[in-house]
Amino acid sequence: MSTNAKLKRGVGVAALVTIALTFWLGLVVTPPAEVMGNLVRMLYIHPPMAWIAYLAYGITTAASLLYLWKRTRRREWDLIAAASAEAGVFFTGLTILTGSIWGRPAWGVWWTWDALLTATAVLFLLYLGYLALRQVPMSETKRGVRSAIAALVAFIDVPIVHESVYWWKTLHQTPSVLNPSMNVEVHGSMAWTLLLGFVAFTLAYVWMVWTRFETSRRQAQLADLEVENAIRERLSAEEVRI
Amino acid sequence: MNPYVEAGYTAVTCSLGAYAIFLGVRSRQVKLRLAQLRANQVPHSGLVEDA
Repeated sequence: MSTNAKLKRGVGVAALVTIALTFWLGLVVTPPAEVMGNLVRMLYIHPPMAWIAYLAYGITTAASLLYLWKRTRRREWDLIAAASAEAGVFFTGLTILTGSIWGRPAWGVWWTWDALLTATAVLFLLYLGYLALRQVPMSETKRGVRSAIAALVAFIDVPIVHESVYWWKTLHQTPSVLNPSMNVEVHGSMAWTLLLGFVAFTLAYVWMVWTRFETSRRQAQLADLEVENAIRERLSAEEVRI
Repeated sequence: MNPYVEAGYTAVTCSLGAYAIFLGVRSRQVKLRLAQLRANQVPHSGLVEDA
């Protein structure tokens, strides 16, 4: 096994262990909150999912910029952008799902057209559109450039999602960790569990992007080889005819 | 335990597991296909030279 594969396996195992530990701490060890009771346990999974979505779209944007800039244009940046966007869509979906499950007992509704929720749904759709755009048949460079531009446009919604709780009156509370004053409103074992949740899901994200990127790179190599083979077969058929 | 909390943790566990399995299986399939194609290339290029 290569060093790369060993490292990736290490990240995967670390993600698995830290996620299991987060779940155990979140469900068994940490106490219920004074006001929210046991519902507070959703805190250890919901905000980390949202954080990963932001991180994923940030990486997609950075990789897209590197692809757009001709000096740094490489197939790998395009593939990293796509892999990260896919993980971002996955985590945005989970953010919406866990938020909805938390919202039902906390607010009395599964869904409401609140500013933050709506902006998050738009974000989800924007990046789904980005992934759909990548499936449109066109040359590799054209696809890379067009999807990089789409990724930059979609990223405009990320600060809107984050700031929506300050800009508009929303049902959703302001962030407990990533707030402007950086005043963490969670303490003790709850804070440690939340922190571990952030680490655990970040590791899971890294493993996902790594695996997806490697697969996409191999798929691209596969496509190159298939074209090469087709050309060779055509040439040999013509040689036989001559 | 609160049923909503149970539902939330179950949804996250199942989704993460399903996506990880999908990524693993897809990765293995592509890896095998690439290895097959590379293995088939040697005799094929030989044929071209013979012709």
